[in-house]
Amino acid sequence: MKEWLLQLAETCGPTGHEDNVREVLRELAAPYADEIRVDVLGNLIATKKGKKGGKRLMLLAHMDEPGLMVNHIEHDGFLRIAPVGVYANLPAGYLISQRVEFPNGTVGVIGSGAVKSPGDVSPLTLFIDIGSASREEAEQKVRIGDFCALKQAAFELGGNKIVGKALDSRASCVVALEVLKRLESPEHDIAVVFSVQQGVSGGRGAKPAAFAVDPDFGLVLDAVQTGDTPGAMRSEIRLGNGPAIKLLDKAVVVQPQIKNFMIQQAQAGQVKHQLEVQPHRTSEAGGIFAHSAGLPVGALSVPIRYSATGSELVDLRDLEAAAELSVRILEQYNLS
Amino acid sequence: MLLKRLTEASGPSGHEDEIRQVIYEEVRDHVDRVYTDSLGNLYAEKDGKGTGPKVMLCAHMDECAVMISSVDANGLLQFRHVGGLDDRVLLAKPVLIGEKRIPGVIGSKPPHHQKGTERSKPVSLEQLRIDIGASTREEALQHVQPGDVAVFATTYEEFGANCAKSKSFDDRVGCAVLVEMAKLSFDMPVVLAFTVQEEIGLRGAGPAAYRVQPDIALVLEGTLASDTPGTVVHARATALGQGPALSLVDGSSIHNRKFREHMMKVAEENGIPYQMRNTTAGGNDAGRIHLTREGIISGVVSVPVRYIHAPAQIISLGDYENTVRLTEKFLRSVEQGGFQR
Repeated sequence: MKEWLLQLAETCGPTGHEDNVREVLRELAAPYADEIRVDVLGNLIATKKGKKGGKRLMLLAHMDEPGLMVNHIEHDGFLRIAPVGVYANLPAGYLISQRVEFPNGTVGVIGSGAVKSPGDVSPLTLFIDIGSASREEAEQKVRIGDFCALKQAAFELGGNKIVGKALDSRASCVVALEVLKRLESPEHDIAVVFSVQQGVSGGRGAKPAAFAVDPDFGLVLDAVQTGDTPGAMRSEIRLGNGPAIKLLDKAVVVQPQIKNFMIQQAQAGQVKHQLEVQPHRTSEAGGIFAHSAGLPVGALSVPIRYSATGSELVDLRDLEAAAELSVRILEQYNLS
Repeated sequence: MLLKRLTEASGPSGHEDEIRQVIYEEVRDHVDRVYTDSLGNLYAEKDGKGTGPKVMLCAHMDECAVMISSVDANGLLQFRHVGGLDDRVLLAKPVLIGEKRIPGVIGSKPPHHQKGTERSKPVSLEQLRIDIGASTREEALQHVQPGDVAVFATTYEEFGANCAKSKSFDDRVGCAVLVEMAKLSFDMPVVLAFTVQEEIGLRGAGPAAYRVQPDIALVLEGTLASDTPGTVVHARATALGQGPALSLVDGSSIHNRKFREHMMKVAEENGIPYQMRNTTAGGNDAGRIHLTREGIISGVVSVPVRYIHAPAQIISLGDYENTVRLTEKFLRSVEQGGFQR
């Protein structure tokens, strides 16, 4: 999983422009899937046939990371940008001096026009310098409407820990891949969905994917911010304590029988786990459970530090435990 | 004059009966069938030769308006917004209430009686009333009931350098483009969906797309033109007279790049000017459509509208005509197999 994570963390996949990540995942998933397809929105759906009479289960992890859109190119080659998704809610000053990358490999650095105080920095004062001297030169590499994401190397820190950008999504992708690999001859039909556009409106890609798969149960993988750093927001979640079984977030209350089933599976398999009560964030679980005809959902979150920054941090042992617990849940699923 | 008939018709969100009837009369002789659904969306279907992908064109019928909420003892009417109106544009505007088009004027305390601090602040909705010339509650209730809706009493006029003024160009200008498409013939099936309740949360379009199940959807909109004082060039949504606007991102969609690039190609090949909608603000029916069922490939082309969501809106008739041309050329390109997902 480590090699997969290092590779995926350095792949550029801003919300709505996940093509590069999808291609990497498609290649990595191919040996373990019976069928792989891409839908209209760009969701990657890898399926594995189960035994006769089994149920249809869905495992979902999002591919996208926060993005910035180019909405204007100045005559002297600087790119003006509009934040999309989580960046629209963060102070713009946070982006100054960040390095960014476009899916076509173009790299740039973010600067800001002069302001009187740091609080005056806004998306309107920001620009990206891609080293072009004119609009014409810049347009050779970037067009209006193109998206970029942070550019950061991923690396191992201490023991078992990985630092990098986009781990919020890619950690779950790696867990989903590992689950696909371990489910050699599953009891139930399994559809692993690598979804697009989680970062906007609480998850847009997951809805059409869930409609298409139409599963009996959906297990959603994502990341959850920890509360184990100095002065952190109050939270029970700690790095290294295993995946968090979601009980509640802003968009979903997990049904008690599903919650209990997941906890039982963790206990039976002696898988380290913790419980997540996260009233401030929405999730794809919330996006799909009441979509179309409705769908029972559960969710596991990988603990993450420094979420939505260029230096997110996860513990590989949490990913390992998340994969193990996901496999148990999908193999043993027996709720009606 | 199509734009006059469409923009002067009344159609507050959830109360689209009058505008729906006007559109029905415009399209019925040109299409294979016309029908409505339980929400009030109007569908006009052209079967063509039945070859090629099914295309849904979508424009919303409803407009931002107000609803009478209660009647004061002195016969003045309290009201609430239907859709996103800015309180500051309401004062002193004439309106037409209900099916009978009862005239009224939005009024407030005269400036003579206002303290200095009051004058420096915009008048809030709570301080505004609609005056229908009634002097008692009983008199007012003979003409108007709580729940009645009112639209701005703006008439359509052409003026200036090929411009037009009216209410509700958002989105009657899109409805007009659809009506023009109804008059043409295409090989592939084309469904014109005139939707309800866009302005109060894109409520009509999802069920419309669910029913129609198109292969491709194109939303025709009126969008904000912000080539007005106080905006910086790089944050402008659109500019009047620069041609139809292609959407990049808004609050409801990250728009499909292949769709946009195809539109750019169609425009360039046919010498049609176009611009990008540079802001990420706003949202439209495509936000619901593209997530319907297993996902539907969708795009948006908008006519720039100055003073959108206000009583008197302005468009460039050149932008409108170019949007009609671009929409037709787009449909021709689909007809010739030039666009697939």
